Amino acid sequence: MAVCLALGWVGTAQAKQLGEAVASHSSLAIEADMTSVEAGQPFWLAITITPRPNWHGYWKNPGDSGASPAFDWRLGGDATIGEPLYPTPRRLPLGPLVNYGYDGPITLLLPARAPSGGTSFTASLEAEWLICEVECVPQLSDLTIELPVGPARVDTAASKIFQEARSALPDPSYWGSDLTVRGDDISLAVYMAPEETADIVSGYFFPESVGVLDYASEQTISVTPEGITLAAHRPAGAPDIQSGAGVLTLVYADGQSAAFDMDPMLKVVTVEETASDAPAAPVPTISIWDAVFFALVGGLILNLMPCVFPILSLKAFAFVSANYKTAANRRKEGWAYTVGIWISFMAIVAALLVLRAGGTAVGWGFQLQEPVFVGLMALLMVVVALSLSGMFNIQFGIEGAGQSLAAREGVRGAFFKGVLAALVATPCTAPFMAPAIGFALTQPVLVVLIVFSFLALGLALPFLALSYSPALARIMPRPGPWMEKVKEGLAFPMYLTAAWLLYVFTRETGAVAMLVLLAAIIGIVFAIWIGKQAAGRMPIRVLAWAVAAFAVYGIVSKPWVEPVHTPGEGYVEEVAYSGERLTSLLDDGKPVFVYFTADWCITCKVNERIAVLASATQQAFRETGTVVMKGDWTNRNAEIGAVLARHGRAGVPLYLYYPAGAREPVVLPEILGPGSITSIITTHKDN
Amino acid sequence: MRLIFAIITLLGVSAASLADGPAPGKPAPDFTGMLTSGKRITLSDLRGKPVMLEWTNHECPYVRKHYSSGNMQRTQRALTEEGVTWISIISSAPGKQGYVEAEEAEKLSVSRGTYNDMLVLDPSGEIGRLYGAKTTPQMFLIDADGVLQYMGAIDDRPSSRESSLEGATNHALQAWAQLKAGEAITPNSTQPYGCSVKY
Repeated sequence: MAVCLALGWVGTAQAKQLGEAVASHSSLAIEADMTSVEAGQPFWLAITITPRPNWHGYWKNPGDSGASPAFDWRLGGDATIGEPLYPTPRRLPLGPLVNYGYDGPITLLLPARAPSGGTSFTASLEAEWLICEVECVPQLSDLTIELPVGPARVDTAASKIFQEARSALPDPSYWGSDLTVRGDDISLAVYMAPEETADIVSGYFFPESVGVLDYASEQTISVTPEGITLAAHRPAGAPDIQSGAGVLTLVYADGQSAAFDMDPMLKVVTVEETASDAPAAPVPTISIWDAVFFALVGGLILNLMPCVFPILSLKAFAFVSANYKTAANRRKEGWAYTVGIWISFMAIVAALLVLRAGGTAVGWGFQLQEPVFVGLMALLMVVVALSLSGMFNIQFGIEGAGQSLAAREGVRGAFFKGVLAALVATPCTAPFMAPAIGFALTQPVLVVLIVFSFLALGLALPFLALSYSPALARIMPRPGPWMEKVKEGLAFPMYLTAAWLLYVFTRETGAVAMLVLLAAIIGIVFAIWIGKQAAGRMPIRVLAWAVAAFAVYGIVSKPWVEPVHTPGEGYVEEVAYSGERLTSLLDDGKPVFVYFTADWCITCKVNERIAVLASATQQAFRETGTVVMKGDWTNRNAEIGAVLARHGRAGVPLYLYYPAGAREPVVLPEILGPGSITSIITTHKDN
Repeated sequence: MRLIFAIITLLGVSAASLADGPAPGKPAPDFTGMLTSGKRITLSDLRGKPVMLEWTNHECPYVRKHYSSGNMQRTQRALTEEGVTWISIISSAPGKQGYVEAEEAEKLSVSRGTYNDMLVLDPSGEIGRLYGAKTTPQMFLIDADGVLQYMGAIDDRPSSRESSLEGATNHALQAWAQLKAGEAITPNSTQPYGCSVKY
């Protein structure tokens, strides 16, 4: 009886129903917003599901259990009925489970279109919807609706139903948003202005797609300067996420709440198993033996690098001048030099391993990124250059005289020359050695040590060979007055190295720091000059050392303020690298050229001059609409460090070209020729 | 009757608690459950044979769709004939929908003509919670090495209508066929549908 009365009330209060079905635990009614529709024109249908009191129905994603309503339409002619729009759902906890649904009547809105011909819009429906209290009862119903096709007439009696249904829908959102999946964690970032987030006290995100989050998990909201972030747990083994879309509900300080349709950009972040387990696949797969071989060859090539060669020449020169030495002495020096290099490499590797363990994003050559280190190296270069120029004689230790002492000094000097060669060599290592180092840095400690030992051996090999083979020693030019000239000549590459280091230093710091460094250099020269006046007098020598120490302290104490690097200045078409920006450019199907560089990387600078910034390349960029992105690795940057690691590199340079529409880049070689970039662009243009 | 009740209350679940529920590609959580016969069964003792777990509740309309149509029995038969051990699990709590005692459970098996190998009674819901079972029906396919290979719905038609079975993709059959062929199982995780497990 009560049911009949209720239905009777429903009948009178609502407009003319197109169809109605009464099932065991609920009823379903269909209305249209028109009493008569024009042929081929759109209109709306409303399906109202009214469950028994205390029973509930489900949203389009029902959550842990349950089922969303299913409507199977058979339509006359070319009429259409679209997917229903759902009112904002609620959380319905049920023991350990959570469902998404409604605990009262709901009205779904369906877009429809009348057939282009005929006299009526006819649709027969097989509907299935689930109604649950604790137990669930599927509700099934088959019904047919009919609406005359003719002049358009609005059903004014139904307008209230449609109005109410529309106001129950989530609002469209004008905020940008990202849904980031990181293993078991999921976070929704909604970008809002600070005044919009001020009043938000809580929020909840209802995902439309399965597998996005654990429905029963708490969602924690945090307000960030960019907006809000909702974090939730994602169950292990959840189905793959198809879309990030869903409904965001927000509760404000005044108790009001609002719901928004969100379609966030879905970002899936691959989680590395452990810190030492770098992503395995993209790292060039080379075996340990390949790595050892490359390390050895790379070390050999290093001998020819401009930043190493002067020091090695210096050593060669020392060998020539030491022709009077015994073979045993020479061999000793050769090994001292090798050990010097090896120990320096091991020291750097140890530091790298410590930093790697600490999770700091550093690349090979990282020492040159420390302004203090750069400053000290500049200082050292000037001192070495001045010595070569003949201002004074460098003695790596206490000055002494006598044959036997000279021999000892030679061994010690060789050792320190090895140290020097290794320290200066590291920035040059990266371009040649990137795959081996990239490989090594993702490997167990033992493998890293082996690879780097061979790198050191390669660097030391020519001189080790020289120290062993009398034949080689005999090829060497005879000592003579020319040696002084050669020595003086070798000062100039040193001065140039110092100049380059000064350039790097000033780019990293600024004018004030530059002044400090120049003052320190002059201080060192002054100290040397004082030292020369000493002639064995202790107080003056102490003064000289004090001045030198003060000069060094001037740099080490870092009395300057380091500026924040603003990348991407200068060239017209450059965009500063950011992963987000790159993704959005790729989403737009744009071709993108990304280059990673650093001020201290000579290879990078040469590549840029002859290839990247060459007019032919720039023209090719312009013609193809290629966006050029620059990643500046001069100062450490975790984001770029991650990109380098992903491509199996420990340092710059790295050149990536994404052809239009591609998601995966073409990786260019580390040494570019004038046509390297243009030829890549042309080969991909036609594909 | 009392004896059976006592047996059920004695039902022990010894399982290494997994931090974060089951996931395809990871070892399936181990459990010990009580069969209707009163015997104990431990999942890890079945190592060497693939195992299918089926959460069920005979009063759930979605389960009924699969049993009254014969779809579940056909699926059980297909897998068990090929050497899969099929374990049906009832996690309904006493007094809740789908809760049965051993005697009634056995009767149900006979009347429905099931092809499962074992029926585990889990009235405390411990096994259900261990696996994060959310609905009936819900399936978990475990390979001979004890690694979970598929979890989720039995098919891709979340409906209680028998007519929905026509043209449906049976995920349980598909996952088994792919496992047998040594192929990658796709999908290996789906959202299960049906009645909530009545914990």
